[in-house]
Amino acid sequence: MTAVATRPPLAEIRSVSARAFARSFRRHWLGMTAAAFLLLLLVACVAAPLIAPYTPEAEDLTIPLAGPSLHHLLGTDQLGEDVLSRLLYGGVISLEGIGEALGVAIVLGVPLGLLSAYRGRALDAVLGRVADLGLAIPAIVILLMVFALPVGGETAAMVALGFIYAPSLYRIVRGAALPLREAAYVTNARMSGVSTPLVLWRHVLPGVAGPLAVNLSLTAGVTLTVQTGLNYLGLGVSPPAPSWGGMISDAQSVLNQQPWLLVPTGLTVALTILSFVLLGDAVRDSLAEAWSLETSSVRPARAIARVPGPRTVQTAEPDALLSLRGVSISDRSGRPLTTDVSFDVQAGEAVGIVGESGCGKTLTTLAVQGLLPPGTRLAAGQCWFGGEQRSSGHGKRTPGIGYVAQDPAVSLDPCFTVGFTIAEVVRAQGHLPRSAVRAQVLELMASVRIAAPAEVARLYPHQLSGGLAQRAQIAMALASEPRLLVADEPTTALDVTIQAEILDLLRALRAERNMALLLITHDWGVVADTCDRAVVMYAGQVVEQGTVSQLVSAPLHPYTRALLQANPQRGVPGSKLLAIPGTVPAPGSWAPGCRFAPRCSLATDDCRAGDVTLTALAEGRATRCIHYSDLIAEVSR
Amino acid sequence: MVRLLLRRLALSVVLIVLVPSITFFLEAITPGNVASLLLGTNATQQEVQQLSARLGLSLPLYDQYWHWLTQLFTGNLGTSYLNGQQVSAMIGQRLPVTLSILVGSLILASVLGVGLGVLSATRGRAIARIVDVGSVIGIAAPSFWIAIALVLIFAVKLRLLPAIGYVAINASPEQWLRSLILPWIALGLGLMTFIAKQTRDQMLSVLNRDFIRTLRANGVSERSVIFRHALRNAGIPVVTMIGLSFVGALSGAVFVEQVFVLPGLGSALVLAATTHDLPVLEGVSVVFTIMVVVVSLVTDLLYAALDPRIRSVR
Amino acid sequence: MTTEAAPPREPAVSEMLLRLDDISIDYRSSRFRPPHRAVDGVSLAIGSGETLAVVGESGSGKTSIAKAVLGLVPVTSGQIWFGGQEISRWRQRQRQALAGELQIVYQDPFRALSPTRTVGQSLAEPLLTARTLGKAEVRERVGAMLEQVGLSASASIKHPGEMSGGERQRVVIGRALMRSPRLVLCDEPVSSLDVSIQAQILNLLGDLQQQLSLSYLFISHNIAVVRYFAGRVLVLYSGRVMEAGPAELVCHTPTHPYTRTLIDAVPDFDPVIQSERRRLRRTIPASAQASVGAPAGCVFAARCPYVIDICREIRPALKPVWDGGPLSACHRAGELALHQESPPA
Repeated sequence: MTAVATRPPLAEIRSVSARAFARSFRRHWLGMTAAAFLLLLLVACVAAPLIAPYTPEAEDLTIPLAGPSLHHLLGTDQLGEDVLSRLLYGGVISLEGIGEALGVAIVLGVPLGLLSAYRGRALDAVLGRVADLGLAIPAIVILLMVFALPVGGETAAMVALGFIYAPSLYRIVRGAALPLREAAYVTNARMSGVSTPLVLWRHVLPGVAGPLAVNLSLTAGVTLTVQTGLNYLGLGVSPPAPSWGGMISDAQSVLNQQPWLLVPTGLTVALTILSFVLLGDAVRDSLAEAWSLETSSVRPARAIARVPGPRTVQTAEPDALLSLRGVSISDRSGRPLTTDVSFDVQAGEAVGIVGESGCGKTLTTLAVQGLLPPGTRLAAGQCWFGGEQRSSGHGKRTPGIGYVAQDPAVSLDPCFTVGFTIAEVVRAQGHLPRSAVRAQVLELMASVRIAAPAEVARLYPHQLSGGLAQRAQIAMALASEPRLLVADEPTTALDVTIQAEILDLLRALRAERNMALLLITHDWGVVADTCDRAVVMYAGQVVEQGTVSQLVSAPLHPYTRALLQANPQRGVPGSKLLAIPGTVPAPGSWAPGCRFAPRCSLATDDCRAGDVTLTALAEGRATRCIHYSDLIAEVSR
Repeated sequence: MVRLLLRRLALSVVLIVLVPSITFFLEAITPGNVASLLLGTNATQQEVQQLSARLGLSLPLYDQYWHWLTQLFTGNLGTSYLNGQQVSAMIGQRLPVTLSILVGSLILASVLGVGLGVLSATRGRAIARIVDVGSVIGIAAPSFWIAIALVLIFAVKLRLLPAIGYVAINASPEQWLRSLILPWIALGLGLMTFIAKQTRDQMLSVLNRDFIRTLRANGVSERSVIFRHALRNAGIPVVTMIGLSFVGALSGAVFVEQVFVLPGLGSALVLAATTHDLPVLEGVSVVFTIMVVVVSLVTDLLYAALDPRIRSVR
Repeated sequence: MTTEAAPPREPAVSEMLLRLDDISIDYRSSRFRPPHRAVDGVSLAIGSGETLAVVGESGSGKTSIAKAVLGLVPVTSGQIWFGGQEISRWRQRQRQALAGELQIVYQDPFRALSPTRTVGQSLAEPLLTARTLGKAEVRERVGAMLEQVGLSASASIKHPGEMSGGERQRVVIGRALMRSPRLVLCDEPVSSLDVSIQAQILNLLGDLQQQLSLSYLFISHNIAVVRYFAGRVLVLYSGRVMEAGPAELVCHTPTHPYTRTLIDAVPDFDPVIQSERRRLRRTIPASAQASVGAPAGCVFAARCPYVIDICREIRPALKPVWDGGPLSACHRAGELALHQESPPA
């Protein structure tokens, strides 16, 4: 769904199309400004002979150390030379140096990195060791060595710097290319007979270009620092030739008389490095954005339609454990993600929320727990748990609710043993003295049928099998003695035989503890096995609810019916499945009226005219279809 | 795990020998004689030959190298071309200075950096903004420029702290501290902002992960979530990055010693470079390399201590 | 998919498109540990125009078999015959010659297409690499294929990132068919798709099979999909074949305890039927952590509710339960009454 504005590590950035990247980058004004500044600088320095007001070595001893004036926009140094001119000419040296260093690094690092990722073990092992060594060498030592020897000189030092960068560039390229080697589209190309160089050029290099560009930008900044520093030390460029580092050194020597001199060069250097860094950051952020947009399974909408959706009456069911009325969740820009969600869960009851990806089922349960992710908010509706009204869906967690997530491998802290994590939840309840915590942890683990609790408690999540890890997660959720257990696709990541065990476990736990269960799933079989009632969601809305038997034997919404009919369990071998044409509409592109209408065989103009409300037909039975009577007729036929 | 460490140790030994050897390698591939460099362009052929013989530079290069190598393992790092002093003695004198600068600024930068990073990841927008801006300034301005600016403000204008010079800790702890404050800031500022930014990025990334949501959903206190779980997971890559940044810190230390005229290994290195004093250059590079190796080993151990997945990998 | 007329049988040797003979695949994780046997003595055969499904859970070896057929993983012993040639030791260059006959549809549509290239370019690549047609003809073929898989020809200028999961999977299928292969290896082709899209893609695969006389090697963990879609099925557990035979027969009336367990574990979405099935289901012990080395007897013995002593000592051979019937690797195959009830037709 909506992501927090974080910076993903470089290693997670994959390839994106140039078009998507450009679209993303254009929105980063900081990055665009930085790029513009660098371009301007490049042009100005290259054109120095044309635009500089003076030659860099034109002394005028009548006005040494003058401040800014009309004739000398940035003042003069101790020999009366014009600062601005020297800045421009000095810039050429700096930019040349950056070019040389980066050039050498690219020529060495990129091909070797690609080959290392592709040409197998031996080369990779050798190059890897060499790179490890290279990265550990203190750069400053090498650079100063270069100057100490007859080879010394600005260019030699920059070339040496290039060699010093090459290992880290090699690592970046190799790191980006290695996962691509196993990517399905690369193996496919290789199998089709595309030659290795062509595979590398067409399929791998674009994937590597992103992290490479980010790294190069940051490296350029570092190079400038190093190069300026060397010149500051008097190495590389000898006076009276201008260089930014040399100018800073000059400024330092006259610090008492004319502190201003420190400013123009220092500021220019700082701004240039800043621009490189900002550019690198902007490229990385744009890549990440473009990548996440491309991998979301639902296409993002262009226009943001502020359709609030219909409302239902806001009265809570008095005895229900959990009540939602008209819950609508939207993102920061006001785009609705769910609209008008209402249902109840009685104490001890098991309710399933069924739907496909993007229907809003996860968000709804997060709102129930008070754990809406940043970037989303409860735009309308109320939520009652245990008789108390919950306010915003945010911030404070609702006590009395336990939570089990989908993939136990990523839902347990990898740095702590399972026993420790469960113990923490037990401690957080605050009821038990410290000495009793361990016993409680083992008891909880036994209650989820873990065979050797003491041994398992000492293990880390990555040492557990899928089924065992999921049991541990359930144990953690039970530690707070919840009245309601929210399970978000708890068995989707598991093998089907393990799934059966976990579902049996959930059923047993419900019976033992009289615990209600809110189960999110896309699998009707799981619903039938575990739940008493179900709520069907589509495109952010509840479209039908009832007992599972009612839904399965007499669905009153075309979507429910179509979903059941499309299931391969009911497929007749040799005949086609009754597939639903079309695709799920993305949030923001919901047209007014019934959101399923474009794909519905019963749709009429009435359906598209206005918002359809959820019609309550009986206790706990409702449908959001105006043609439900047709469906009743069909069933009874 | 043990295999990893052993491999690292082996590489380290190779490294310590390799880095100073690069001087010999560079000498081998370049024309010209060091002796003539030392004497300048006005020297006569005869003077150059005499100096070469005296310094042992007329021997074939691999003989010189072999001699140096064997001497290295006995702890003898040669004598300076410039003043004839024993290189090892000089290193002994100057090492405490450089260590004071490096260790002090690393500790300050790490503690403050991580603290700021966590604050900006968990508190409001304002601090995040400050950290962002600060990190950008810290990265953008070269350490020596910051150093000069600091000297200008605190030493020249405000006369609060000394501009140059170093006082040993046994002579006067208070003066020692005062002579190091500005250097620590100059070197540490860039490091601190780098660490703060990395910590913040990693914290935000970790706080977005599923296991944090599960912990919160099941009632674990926010304090524990942030300081025990998020920080530890975020700390793993941050520790690695701090380790990698040490090489840059060495660079910065060299410049800082120049600006503040501190008699450490950095300024010795610069002097050796400008005066072509090869033995000093080689000797200091051995010490620097040892420092990098030690830091990498410590980083590896910390990493293994924090991340149990590494420990179970053979 | 087959007609309802005769139950599908193992094709005669001469008709076979793909045949695996006693394939075993070992993986070595390090020099110091014994290799892990991912596939142990698996044989299968696919004739032209038919669908053979290989079904199993994680660790069953089905992915390794797919990789071996494609040459991505070396075979430790056994032979692979494709179109009459033995290909198990072929190197990459030789395998490229097969690209016109043997293709693959992947599980994850997001990673199966190069994100930086347009759909048209991805579709054209197999033909352009084969160098048999000119650019104009290739363009025409691309347009025609897009329509055949249910997309409009204008989709060729889009990037995969601009399409939904179902649309991308159609492109992946289209790309596999560009060179008119005879056998398409489908590796969990619908597992990462929503149920409503699954049905669309399965229908598409079925249509294409009829139109183009394709054979499918269909790898899946979903027995309901396999029962619907496949003609014959191979049930794998821990690298070995437990049962093999016509899909409907095996999935309705299994003869091996593991197949029974697998079918029982899949919940039916009618709650009345499901609670009845649950009542009749025999619980089996949870799977133990993987033991080192191959067990001497039947690999399912540790969890089998019908286990007897011989099961732990002697590995059961895969043989027909009755003449012309399904193959089962169980010592007690003929005597067990495993068919208490069957899922609704």
